[in-house]
Amino acid sequence: MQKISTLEILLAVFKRDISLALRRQSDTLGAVFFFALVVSLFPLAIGPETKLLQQIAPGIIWVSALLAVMLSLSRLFNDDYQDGVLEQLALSICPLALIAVAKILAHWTYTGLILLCISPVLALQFNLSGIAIEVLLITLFIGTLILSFIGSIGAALTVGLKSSGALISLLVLPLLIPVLILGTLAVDAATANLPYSVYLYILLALAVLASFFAPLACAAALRIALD
Amino acid sequence: MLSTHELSCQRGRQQLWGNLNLEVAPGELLFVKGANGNGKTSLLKILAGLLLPDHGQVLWQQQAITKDPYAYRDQLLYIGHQTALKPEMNAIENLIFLAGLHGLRYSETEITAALKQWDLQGKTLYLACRQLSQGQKQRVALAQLNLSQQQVWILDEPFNSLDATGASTLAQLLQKHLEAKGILVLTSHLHERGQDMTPPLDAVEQLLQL
Repeated sequence: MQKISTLEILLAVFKRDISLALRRQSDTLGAVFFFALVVSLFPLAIGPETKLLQQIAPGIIWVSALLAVMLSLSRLFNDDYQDGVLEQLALSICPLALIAVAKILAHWTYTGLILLCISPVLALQFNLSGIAIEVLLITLFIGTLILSFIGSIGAALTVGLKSSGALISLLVLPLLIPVLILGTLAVDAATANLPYSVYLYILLALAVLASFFAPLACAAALRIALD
Repeated sequence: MLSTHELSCQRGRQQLWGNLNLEVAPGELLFVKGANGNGKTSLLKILAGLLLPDHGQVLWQQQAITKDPYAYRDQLLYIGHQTALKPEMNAIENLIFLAGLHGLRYSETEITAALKQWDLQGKTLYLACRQLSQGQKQRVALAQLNLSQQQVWILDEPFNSLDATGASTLAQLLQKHLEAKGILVLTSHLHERGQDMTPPLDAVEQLLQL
């Protein structure tokens, strides 16, 4: 028997969530498939009009990413609640808010990061320029992190509810609209060869805010759910 | 010492119980009895710090547990109604994870040894927990007791779904914990059913009828 530090506890939570996600691949990949399908159906339906496709690409990719992340959120805390692990997480010697951070980062790894990896391929269908794809990736990187963090508040508030999916979207989507707007604006600007860094800075600022406050809100909501 | 000060609990508008002043010293057992719905589980959750009481305080070493929750949690092992085992993971992985939450890391041999005390060995250890029977899951969860370094054990219906050998293994463990000056809080409804599977624990026993 050895004592382990807080950081190692968090690492264990992170690893466990990743390994659980790997064991239920159909669920994990569901969100990714949804994203890939929706994004690739648009060019097929609209036809090979390069200008139009370039124009709508950022919006479509961003909206699909947003919805895909929403889809995957409902299980973030609910599974742990159902089998009683949440009680043990709440009784850990590690603060619940930090455990929430580990779980959220794991969620981002098995959704946001995968979306990020396949989006350059999907972006090719829209004939996006190299720089636009680059900016799209950067905004998606920051954006999906924000989606996971803010979305987790909705997931924590709806823990224990039977069909929480719709409610999570209702709670969280209004908060995510700025992210959506900034993300698409940045890619639009890059496509038009305009400066786009200001959007990235605002996104980064939002990410910092979300990653600080969301775990605290999560921990509070989870404690209420255990009541 | 675990104690409570004028503790009361409400569910909805109904007061379940109130003005509870308990004191459980090291080596003592608090046995909580009561009909279904009388608030046994609520009391245990409040003692564990999972629920906030409507009134009053839980004190650990004379200090409110809300004041320094981490010092208390370091000494607390709570096993609730649900086994807290992930259905996708096997017994060993589950136990390593649960111990990890308390800041303890065990090797696989230590875990296997603990599980062996509960007659769990061989292939069973590598089956996903969803494939285990209810009794086996309960045994896996209770194997946390063998590994425990904590002084306070709060167990909600630990004898549930155990067979006779399992129950006697558990009773021995509890006895050992009490002899080592541990604090034990537990509920069980087996007494009422007349099938007294709980061998008498010869310890200072406080019976609390809710």
